[in-house]
Amino acid sequence: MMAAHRRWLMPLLIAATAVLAIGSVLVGKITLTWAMWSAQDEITRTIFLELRVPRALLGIVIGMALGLAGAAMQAYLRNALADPGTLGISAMAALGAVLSMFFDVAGLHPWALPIAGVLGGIVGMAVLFLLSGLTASALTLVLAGILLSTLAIAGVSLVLSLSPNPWAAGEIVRWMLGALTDRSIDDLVFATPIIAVGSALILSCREALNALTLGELGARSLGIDLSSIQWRLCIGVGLVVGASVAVTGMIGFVGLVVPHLLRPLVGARPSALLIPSAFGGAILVLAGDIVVRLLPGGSEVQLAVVMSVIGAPFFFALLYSLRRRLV
Amino acid sequence: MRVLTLLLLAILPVVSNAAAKPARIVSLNLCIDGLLIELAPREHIAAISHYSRDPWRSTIADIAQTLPITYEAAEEVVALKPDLVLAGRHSALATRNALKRVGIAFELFDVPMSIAESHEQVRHLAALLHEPERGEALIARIDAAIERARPAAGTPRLSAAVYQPGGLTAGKKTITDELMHVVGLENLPARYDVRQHRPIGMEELLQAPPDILLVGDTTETAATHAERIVNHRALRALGSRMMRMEYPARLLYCSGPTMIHALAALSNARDGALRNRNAHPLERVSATPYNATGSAR
Amino acid sequence: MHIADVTFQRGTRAILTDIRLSIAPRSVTVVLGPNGAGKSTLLGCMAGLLRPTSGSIRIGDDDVHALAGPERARTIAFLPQTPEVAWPIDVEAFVALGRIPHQRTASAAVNRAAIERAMTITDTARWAGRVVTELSGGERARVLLARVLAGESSWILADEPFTGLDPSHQFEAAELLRNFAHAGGGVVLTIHDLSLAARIADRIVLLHEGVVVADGPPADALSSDHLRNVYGVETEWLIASARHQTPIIAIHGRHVR
Repeated sequence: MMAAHRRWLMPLLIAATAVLAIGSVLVGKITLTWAMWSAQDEITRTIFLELRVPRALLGIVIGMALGLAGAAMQAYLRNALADPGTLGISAMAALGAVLSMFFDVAGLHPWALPIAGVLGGIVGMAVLFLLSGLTASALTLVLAGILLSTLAIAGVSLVLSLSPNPWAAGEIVRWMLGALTDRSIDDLVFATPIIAVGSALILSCREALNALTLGELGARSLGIDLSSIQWRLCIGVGLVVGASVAVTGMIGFVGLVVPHLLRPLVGARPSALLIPSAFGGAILVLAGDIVVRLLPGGSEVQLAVVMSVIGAPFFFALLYSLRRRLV
Repeated sequence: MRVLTLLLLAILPVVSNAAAKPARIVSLNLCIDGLLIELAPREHIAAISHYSRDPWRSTIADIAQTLPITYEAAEEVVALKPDLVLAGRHSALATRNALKRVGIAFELFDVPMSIAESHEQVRHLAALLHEPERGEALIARIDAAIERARPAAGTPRLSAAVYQPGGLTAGKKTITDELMHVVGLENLPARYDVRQHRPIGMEELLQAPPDILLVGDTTETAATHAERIVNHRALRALGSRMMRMEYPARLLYCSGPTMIHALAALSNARDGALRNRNAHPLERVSATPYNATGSAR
Repeated sequence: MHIADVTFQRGTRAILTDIRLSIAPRSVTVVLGPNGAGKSTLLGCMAGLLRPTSGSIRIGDDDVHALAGPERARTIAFLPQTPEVAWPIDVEAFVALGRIPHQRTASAAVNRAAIERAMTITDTARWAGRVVTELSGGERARVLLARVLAGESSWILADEPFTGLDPSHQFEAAELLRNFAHAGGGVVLTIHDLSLAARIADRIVLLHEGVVVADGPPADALSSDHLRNVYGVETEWLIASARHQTPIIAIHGRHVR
């Protein structure tokens, strides 16, 4: 009895993503007219192919990654407040990436930086699972997340302030407040495969995440191997978040807002929320990136700032509505 | 009579102090360090700022290794027993207040925004140090460098843009802008409402690519976001239109003797670009290779 | 189900010691005992969710712990003591969760049929679109049982499934379980209420401090002597009325030594 109203959801999300992607490619400080495009002018082509298109594609990939990670974390932890940002996973990924820069490992090979970010993300997830334990009340989780977040951000700041690199101070800001500005195809090439593998791992847990609706004991009674799920999610979310943060810096709240908004539209089933959240994330990131470029001013505002402006009040409203269940 | 003697005795130290040549000078500012080394005898320099030893920021890194340095904390400065402290207008307020409390005289310097302002600053500092002839000598050297840097008559005017890690460029009302003018280059970012130094978006830069891209050098591994942008694929794609010439970031920060280096680098860039144009009218070859680690990383 | 010499230790404490039971299908077995006697632990071991320190639990020839998760889940359905419902999903989706062990082994049509059957038996089909978390206690109990029945397992193990239910709902649930047993399944429950246990059980296993103290039909297992030793209370077995033959265990007071 799959309610008819749910059938329009995926086509709508896919269409919205496509529309926003096209919008993203058309928006920018420079107006690209059809005349310029048809003239096959080298400059227009370069701006279009090397700057606009990678940026839009990266927005989709990163948005999908963050949306999916948020939905998966919420499903496993059975908590609507979970998200890579609030629970410190993004911060740990940033720490991994920054440490690789500090120890000059990042320059050895182009894959070194994203892999370092992934390792940071995986460590973060492992610590989170350890800290939250079997009976994770919402309060324990939020506290564990604050702990991870604070430690990781302090670590990033410390490492960058000790760095002999002259641009280190500015770099701290760029990591804390991520953005899609001026990223290139290379960033896309490195992030996409890692995010694809991580997403596959996460999606392989669909059934188990549904079973977890009955709690850990109930899920196990349905034959679910919980430790296998933990591993797959730990590595899957670590891959997905690690690669995203390595390429763009920390962008928060996507994984928090999107699953929450889409949950009523998929009947709250965790598995049904995963792929729609991915597309929802893409939509949110693309929309935010378009706003960033439409804002007046010389330099672009960082995307993370726009996300925080949307996400922080949302988070507050969410906390408020869940307050009775928090303790 | 006694009152008069006392008065005379009172003003005498002031007068004699005003006439005394500073013998223990401390500089807390990178650019002042550069001036100080040119204008003051070595024995009179008690300490310069630690920034001077940083090869990325300073043009006098080698010399600075042989001079005492300070980390500009008030206690360090006081311990040096200076009779003159030189600081930038935007130096740490807390440090300056501390010096004031202890009664140490300091002199503040602004950032010059034109060659004329720079010359004035040189003269002012030379006067403070009681070394006017050295001041004039330095100005003469700078003026000579300016004349040398001017293009020959009939030289085509190329456009250029400074592009440092982070997309940082030099706009209107900067020394760099004026120097580019002297050398016969048109500073493109000055057209786009870039005031002073601020980052320029890559799209902005590329919509009208400059003939010469004055690129800052990056560190070995160049893994920071700021540095990667300097090796962006988009720049490579339009590499045939833009000649990459090296222009280190340290040449942007200071005036005075640094301008001599800056003029040399700019002339070099101009000449290199012109040679390239003449030699390969259709094909442009970049002088500064993209980052050694291959891709844009 | 054969439970052979099962001992369960947590740290230095022995929760269960040398339990030996053979439980046949087609009957309702109730495990009784005071708090801390080890009822939930025993049930957990039987369901394959807790691993005993020594001994084995077999169904037919298969060791319950040697079975792969889904296979075990297809054989044994388990209802935990405090059933969690983490998300506001609708009843039909909730009952469908019971088919998870069959995802790989049965077609979608077969799964659909099983879900419908379970919802018909429990009379929950009319709530198919309602959200589980919005149901009342009794309604939710039926839906929980529907989930269990949808799995079409041969055994149902339930830990205190009647707590907090109104008497009529207790009856409903008890009847569903009895019907399941009559149809050929095995049912093992833990119950707190002595009278309820007396009413619905075919066989009672009385646990005291991790050891089986009595094992047999209710009249025998719940004798006043056994109850005095285990619960420390004076009891008397009464038949409420000749017409209904409903047993009540009246508790007269604490046992004074």
